[in-house]
Parts: sequence; structure tokens; C-alpha cells
Amino acid sequence: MNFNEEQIERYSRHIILKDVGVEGQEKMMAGKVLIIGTGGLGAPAALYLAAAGVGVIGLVDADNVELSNLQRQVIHFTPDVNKPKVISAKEKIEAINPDVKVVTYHTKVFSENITGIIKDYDFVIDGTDNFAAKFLINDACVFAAKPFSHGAILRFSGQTITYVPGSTCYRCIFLTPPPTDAVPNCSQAGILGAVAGMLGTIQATEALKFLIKKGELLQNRLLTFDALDMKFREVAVTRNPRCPICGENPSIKKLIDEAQPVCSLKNKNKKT
Amino acid sequence: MKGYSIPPQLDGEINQLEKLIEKFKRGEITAVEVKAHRVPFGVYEQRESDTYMMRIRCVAGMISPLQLEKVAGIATQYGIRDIHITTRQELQIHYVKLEYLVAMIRQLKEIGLATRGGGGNTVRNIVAQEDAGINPLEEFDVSPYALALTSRMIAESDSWNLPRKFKIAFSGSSEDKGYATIADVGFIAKIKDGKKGFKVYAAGGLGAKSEVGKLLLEFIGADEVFAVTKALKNVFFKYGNRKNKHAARLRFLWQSLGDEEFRKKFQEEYKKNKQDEVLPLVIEEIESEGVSDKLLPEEPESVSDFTLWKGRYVKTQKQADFVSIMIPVELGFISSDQARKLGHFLAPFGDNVLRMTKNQNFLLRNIPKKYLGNIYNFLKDIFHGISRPTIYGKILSCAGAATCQLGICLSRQAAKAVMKDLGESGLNLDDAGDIKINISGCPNCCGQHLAADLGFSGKALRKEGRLYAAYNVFAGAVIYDGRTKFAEHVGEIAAKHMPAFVKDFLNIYLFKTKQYKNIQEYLLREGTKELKKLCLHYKGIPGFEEDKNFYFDWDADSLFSLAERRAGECSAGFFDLIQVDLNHIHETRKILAAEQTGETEKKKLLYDLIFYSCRMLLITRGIEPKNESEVFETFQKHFIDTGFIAVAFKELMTLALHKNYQTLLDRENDVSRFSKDVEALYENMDNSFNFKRPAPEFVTHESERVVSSKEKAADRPAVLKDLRGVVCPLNFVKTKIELSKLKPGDILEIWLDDGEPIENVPGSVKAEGHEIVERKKIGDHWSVIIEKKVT
Repeated sequence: MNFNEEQIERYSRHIILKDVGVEGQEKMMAGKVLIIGTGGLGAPAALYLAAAGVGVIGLVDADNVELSNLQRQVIHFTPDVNKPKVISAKEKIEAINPDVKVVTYHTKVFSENITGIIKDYDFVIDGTDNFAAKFLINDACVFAAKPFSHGAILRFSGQTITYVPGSTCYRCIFLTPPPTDAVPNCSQAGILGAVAGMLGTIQATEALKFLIKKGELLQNRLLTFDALDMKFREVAVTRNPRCPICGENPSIKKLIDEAQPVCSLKNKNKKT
Repeated sequence: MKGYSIPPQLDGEINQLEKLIEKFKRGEITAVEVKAHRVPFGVYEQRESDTYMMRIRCVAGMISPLQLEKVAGIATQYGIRDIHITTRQELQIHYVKLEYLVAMIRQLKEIGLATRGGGGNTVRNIVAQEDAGINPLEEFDVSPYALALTSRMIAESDSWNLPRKFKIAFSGSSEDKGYATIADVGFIAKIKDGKKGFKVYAAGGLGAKSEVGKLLLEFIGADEVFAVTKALKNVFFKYGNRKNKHAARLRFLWQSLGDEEFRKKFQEEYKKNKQDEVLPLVIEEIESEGVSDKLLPEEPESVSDFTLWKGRYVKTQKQADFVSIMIPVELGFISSDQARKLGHFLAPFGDNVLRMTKNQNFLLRNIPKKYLGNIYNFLKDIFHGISRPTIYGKILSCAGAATCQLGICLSRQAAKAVMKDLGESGLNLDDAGDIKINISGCPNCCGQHLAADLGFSGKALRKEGRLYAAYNVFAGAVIYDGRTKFAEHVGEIAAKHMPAFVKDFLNIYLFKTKQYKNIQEYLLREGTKELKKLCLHYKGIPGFEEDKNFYFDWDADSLFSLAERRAGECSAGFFDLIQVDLNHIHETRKILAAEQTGETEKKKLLYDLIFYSCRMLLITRGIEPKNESEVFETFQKHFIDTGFIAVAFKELMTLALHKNYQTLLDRENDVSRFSKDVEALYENMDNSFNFKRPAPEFVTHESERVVSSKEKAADRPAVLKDLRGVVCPLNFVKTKIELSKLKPGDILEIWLDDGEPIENVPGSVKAEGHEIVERKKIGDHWSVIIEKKVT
């Protein structure tokens, strides 16, 4: 353990915490977290992980910053418009905390590239805005036995669950993506910017808890909230024997790219 | 006579202070939280715990006889025997108990006096030359401006929350008797085209880094005093350095912004004030009510002494028929009883008859000549030595090491020794009456040595390894509009030589008084040269065995030492001593580098290098080693065992201790690295003697710091961590870091500062599940012994 004087001061409020302490901070600094999507969820998650001193942060995003992103994607600033999101995010992370190493992947995730990308990380945060990516991330993480945090938001509501090998996966709950046009995406339905912050921050917290091995992760519990009346609800979920990927007779044997991008999930009828 | 107006919000602020003190008494809040409110109320804690000192705002030194009588009454009511006149023309009450504080503040408010702004980072008492309004040479009376400006300033809430203190001064003429050229804001009265106004100086001041004020504005109309002051206050408020209080006064801001930028920022604020049309001050001339016609003139009780007194202390005023009278108050101390009697006696003469002076005396004014007998008879009864030569009233001293935590020398006791010797000298002191002798107990300028004709500032010197009290000597200050300069350093003398030194100097001067207009001119022409010679003459002191007397400061019953001094901004005395050793180190290195020395000589040089490197910083830890082995032992304890210097160098100390010169020769590189590490450590030291954490090259190997299990069995702490000077919560963070390196059952000793650290850290460590084995106070800090537990 070799904190320098600046690090001692920077992380003092972590070190003071009984459940973090010197050991916990060291674990954060040795940790590697991949954030897929540097938008509404990825932005706050990346900021907090950077501030916490997570050793390596990977960023995956193919898009460039647009003016309409800035209402919620707080890691990007006005002068960043038209800049690749991963570059814009990398610059901010480095400004917050030079201790952090940032690895950027200026691409979408596909069945061909995702296994290679997640391989080197301890924990994955799903900050994507479409079902295809969400199912792909789930499948890739299940195959690779990689813990990840699922998150989704729409209008005033959000939902999140954490997967660790052996726990309920996303497909256990939502077998397949909803039909095209069954749910609106963010650009059609809108999203309160701060709601993205709430959920992204929960995901960051899960990642940090995972790294320091403290507390109870959100596993086998789907957390949903509606910020309009500010109600949080926890739904107990269990492994689904008929899950196409981790059930008793899995039908998915290799990674597939699901069709059509849509943000978030509204149709609880898909839940088993 | 109308005094300053007390703003309506003062009541609420007093109530708040009262609530805080009650909470503190119930143990709900810490002393630090009370302090933050107490100090801006002009209330400071003294050395004895739970006793406080309170400053009362007396603008331009003004106080009415009735007020003085009441203040004395309040003091007496709460058992306080002495009242003190400060160099900033205030009254100060010492030994106040916390429980009476608020009651006293309320009673003072009843008589139109406030303590708010007596201390802390506030607009302090506004001063003015003591003879403003009566001086025949002044342009006009500046005291109404000081009063009106006070009323306005103390009503503005930002006046209580500045980066540092803010001092304002007024002078009625170019003579600058109010010290406007060395204040944060200084006004010198001018008349231009028949219009009243002021020349404005800013960013001056005496202190750790004294500066002469800069000329800010050549002339402003008298109606702009408030706008200018407010603009300067705004600049200070917005841009001043709140982080480092040692570099926070307006003069540091001027320096850091640069002349041009400061003036620009001032002009911005000044213009803004003009646009906002801030109201000019409402000036009310100070009227004199005149003497009650019931008072009958008296004849003086002793005609010859009366004549002597009159010649020395009574001066004519610009108002014919009236005179002013100086009452010399020795070092500013007056008993509550004297003060009460003085106030009572003066009441029939009206309200506007009394001022406090910057030399800590009283100045009576507006006394009709026919009543001089009454005044003389009264003063003779009440005060001691009222007709002594005036030089006594001019000797000024700060509190010094007797009560000030920063003090090095006992300046007040030195001042008394000087007075005593002068009294017995037989010199014609009346001819030397205009000399200002100012004594500060340390390099800080509370005793105003830089503004003196003959100034002294306390320091420590060493002879044959022993410390003795000494003073730097300064001479030749000029305080005058456009010509102000500080006294220059002319040499250094032992404290015990001061009375003889002063006497010798006066003796030389008295032969020359006829040739020169005044002391300033004498000093300028030849006096400082004489003083330099005189300092050389008094340079040496006898060895300890020959005369131990020199190693005791004035009136001290123990050997002179710096051990009890707190490390504050006033630490230049220490730096002198460190520098002496550092010079040795540099010289030794230079000789070694020349590589022209024989082996025998080289051994000695290497030994010296270790010795001076070890001794150099011991003073910062309050250690004054008596012999060489103590140097090596205490260095190990305070600098190696605490992790500032690498453990690997410990062996050098052992070699030096046993004078194992031969081996030292083989370790030349280590010796040189060691001395460089110590020097690097010193370079990282701040003015409070805190060292930054060691740079990587002298970080110790943690495992090496753990002592053997045998010693542990003897219950010796395994690891010592010095966390003095480390603020909350970083001290706790560092404790946790140390603990994380240990195994359960290991012992850690930490050193913590008093106050917040000791109140918080042990509790936090305990809450983590570790055991606090022991906590004890060592001098001004705490040692806490912790046993690591499985958590």
C-alpha cells in the first residue's frame, strides 16, 4: 500500500468509512470497470467511479455528442458537441482524477466484439438505451461469468438489477425484447435528466460495492422507482428454469444480435 | 459628546453568543465553535484556562468620564482589578470569567460601548492622533470622521467576516501622528482650494512582514471617506487570502495582485460605490460642554513639583485658554480603582476631556488653565510618578513571553528594567524626552519596534551551546506623510545589556541635542552609526560558569528557554538559530567538496556534518540539548522514530555518538545524503514548524519501524506516528493508514494536537473496533496508544 500524500487527502472521506477504509480504497484503485454507453446512465456512473479512483475505466460508445444529450448526459459539455462521446468522457475523467486510466472503445457492441471487450474488466455497467444491446450484454456476461449492473430509464421511472454469476439474469425476467414499437424510446417519450442521474449513480454504487466486497448487491432483486411520486419498489425475482440462456435447457448457445433499438422496458407483461 | 452608534443587530449577536456559551457549558459544542464567535466579539482566551481578555472599542481613543467610571465599575463588579490601555487606543479588561462575559458585554452596551470587532478578522478600532481637535498644527479635527466611519462600518455585516483584520487610521496633518501611513487604510487631512479632504494611504501595517502604506489617492473630498473605505473593504473581502492567515492582510493582497491590478480592482469598487450613490458620512463636530460653574479652582499642593509637572505634561491647545495634560500610565496599566476615580473626578469638566494615546497613556483636553491646580492635586493623589520625565510615558512594550504564547523574550520586564536604570542614571532625561523606545518580545511588531526611534525585538542567541535572551536593535523610524520609513536594524544585544545600552546611548545623544532639531535628525545624521558601534561594544556576554545571570531573562527565575514557546507566526527567532547550524552545514560541505583535507580533518568534518544536521531542527521540537550525545539521541527520537528521516541513517548517529570516526570515513556518501535529507526536510517546513510528509527518498521502510518483540513485551509502542499539525479528519485518515499496516495485537502510538484532534480521533478509532490503551497529555500535545483489533 503506497498512497501518496495527495491520494490520502483525495480519498480521505473514503478511508474514514469503516466499510471502505484503506483496504477498500486500495481495492477500488485496483478495480477495472467497463461502462457500455456513455449517455444518461454512463455519464454519472463514470463521474463517480472516476472520483472514487477506480483504477481502470473502460468506455464503449459509437456516438458523437449531440446538443440534445446535454440535458442529462452530465459528463459532456457544450463545447463537446460533435465530439465522440468516449473522447469527451475520457477528458472529463482525466480532469477529475489523473489516477484513473481510461480505455476507450469508439464502437457499438455486437455479438462479435463484446466478449473481447468485457474480458479484462471486473464489473460491467450497462448504460445502453436499446433492447438489443441490453440482451447482448446480459448474454455475454452470463457466458463469461462476468458481474454486471443492468439499468433502464424512461420518463420519470427507472429499474435496475445486478447480476453476479449464479443469480437471476436479465433474460430470466424478460425472456426476449418486446415487439418493435411496443414501447417508446427516449427520443419519443422523453426523460427527466435527473432520473438518469439517480439510476446511473445507483449503478456506480453497485460497482463500487462489488469492488470492495461490502454490503448486499442488488441481486435477485429488481429495484424500480417512479420519481414523479418518488416511490421505490423492490421486486423479488428468482432464477427462471425456462430462461433461454441460464435455464435448465438453454436455447441460446452463442451470442446473437437482437433486432431494433428501443430504450427501456415498460411492458411488465413480459415478466415471468 | 455623542459617541459611535451601536447597530441594532448587536443585541441579536450578543444573544447568539450567549446561547453558544450556554451550549458549550452543557458540553454540546466544542470550544472551537465558541471561539469562532467569541474572537470577533473582541474576546480572547488568556494563558490561564477559562479566563478571557476583552477589548472595548474606543474610537480615536475617545471615552467620556462617565463611561470610564462605568467601565471601571463593571470591572470591579466582576472582580477585575486592572484595566489596560492598548496601543490602538482601546481599553482592555483582563481575567474575565466566561460566565460573566455576556453580562459584561450587555452592561457595556448600555453605556454606548461595544466590544464587537475588538478581535478576529474584522474592522478594528479606528484610531486617530490623540490630539486631534486641539493640535495647533492640524488641518482640521479628524476625530468626527473616525466616529462617523465607525458607526457606518460596524453596521455592515461583512465587517465581521473579512480575510483578516482591517485597521483604519486618521491623522490631522502631514506629521502623521495617527500612523495613517502604516495602516491598512490611512487618511491624512488636507485642505485643497479651501475644501476639506484627505490623502489616502493603503495596505500598510506593522506585523510579521511590515509594510509602509502605499499612496492610493492624492486627494479625496471629505465626503468620500466612506466610499473609499468601503471600496477597499470590498476589494479585501472579495480577493483577500482566507486560506493562510499569515499572508492575509491587505498588504499581502496588494503584493500578490500587484500595484496595477490592485488599483484597478479598487477603482472598480470605488466606481460602483459612486454609481450606487453611497451616502457620505454625516459629520458632527465634537462639541465641548464646558466646565460646571460649581467647580472652584484649587491651588497646587506643592508649587515646585507643580511647576515641574506643568513644564513636562501640560501643553497649550489651538483653543486659547484651554490646555491638554498627559497622564503617563506605566506600560498602559491602570487599576480599576484609579480609572473609576479618574472618571468621577473629570465628570464636571464635560464629556470631551479624555483620550487614550497610542503610547498607552491618558491625554486630558479642554481643561481651562485656572483648574490646573485641581488636576495636579488629584493626579498626585491617584497616580504614581505623574511628574517624572516624559520619556517614561514613551516607553512602549508588548506583553511579551510572560503572557503571549508567541513571545520569545520578557519584553515588559525588560522595559521596567530600562525605566529603573534610567531613574537611577542621573541623566537629564528632559532633554531626551522626545525619544520613542519600543520593545517587542519577538519579531512580530506588537511592540511597534519598527516605528521607534530606538526599537528592540526579542530573539534567542546561543553561546557555547546555551541559549540566552537577546534583542535585535532598530533605529531611526520616520512616520511622516510621504517620508515614512521603518527603523533600520543596527545590531543585536543580550537582553540583560538593554538598560546599560539605552543609558549609554542617551548619554551620547544628550551631548548632541543642541546640534540637532530632534532625535530623528540626530539618528539620521550620526545616531545610527553610533548605535552600530554600541551594539558591537555590547556584543559579547560572559560564559555560563562566569555569570549565569545572562542566561536568565529579566525577572525570570528559570534559565532562558524556547521550550515553552508555541510555534506561531512569530518564529523568526527560531529561524535564526536554525540558520546558524545550516551555515555550518554548508561550510562543512564546501570544505569536504574541495577534497583538500587530510584524513584526520575529514573525519572531524564528517562528524560535524552529522552533528549540525541533527541539531538544526531540534529547536522546532522544543529541544535544547545540553551535550552532544543528547543531540544524537533526541534527533533519533523526534525525526527518525517519527518517520521524517530514513531509519537507515540511524546507524550514523550511533557511529557519531561513539565517535567511531574511522567507519564514518567509509560512509561519506551516507553522511552527505543524510545532511541533504535533513535540509530538504527543513525546506518543507512551514512557519508553524510542521513538516510536510517526507518525500519518497526519505520514506522509511515500514517493517523497520517495528521494534523487536522483546521491547514490545515491555509494553513499548511499536510504531509512533506524529500527527501534530495534521488537521481533522486527515489525522484520522493517517491513523487508519498506519493501522492498516499492522497486524491485530500490534500497538500504534499517535501524537495529536490538543482541541479538535484529541476530541475526535480516539473516538473514531474506537468506533472502528480498535482499543484505546492509553491517552495522555505531553506538553501541548497528546499521546494516544492504540491496540489494533480484528475488525
